[in-house]
Amino acid sequence: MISRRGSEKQLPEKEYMPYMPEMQPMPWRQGCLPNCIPQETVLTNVKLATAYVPFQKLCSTLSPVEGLIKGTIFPELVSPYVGENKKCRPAEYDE
Amino acid sequence: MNMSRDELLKHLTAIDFMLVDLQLYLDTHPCDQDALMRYNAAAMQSKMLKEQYERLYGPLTSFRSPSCYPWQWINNPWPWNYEFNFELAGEEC
Repeated sequence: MISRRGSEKQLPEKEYMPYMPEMQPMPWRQGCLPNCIPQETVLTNVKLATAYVPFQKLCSTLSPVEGLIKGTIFPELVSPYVGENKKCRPAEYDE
Repeated sequence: MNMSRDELLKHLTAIDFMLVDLQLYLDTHPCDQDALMRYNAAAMQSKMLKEQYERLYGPLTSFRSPSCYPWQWINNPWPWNYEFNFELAGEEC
């Protein structure tokens, strides 16, 4: 095995360039893509004692001030606390 | 763009919050080009707003912030004082 330090191969010096191909002044003003809310999925045949988190897909972002007020800039994650709706429910089982 | 101190601070706070949220998203989605573009645009805007704020109203932090003469950091109110911060009253959900 050749040690990296001894190797003659030199990595090309990367130029630092923030990724902004077609910068728009306010990218968060774009509308939502169709079918991006809700993103929750039905899981079947899952293992016990294993946590599953659906993979979020970027949909659109709220304006910064709206995000600050709502606690997230992702519309699909907006979830205000409503006490009455979060009461403990018995688990529902499929037949 | 001519904003009051509170408005400027609110927009800076909001854009910094957006940066935090996009950073969390990018941590798990490092190849999302759209998210990265939004992050970089927001980072640039945050830098601009911070510079504009500090030029008009003095340093936001005790280090990494330039100050005019005399040293401005000792002036009241400090960022953790109630009076320093803007109101979101009536805007919360």
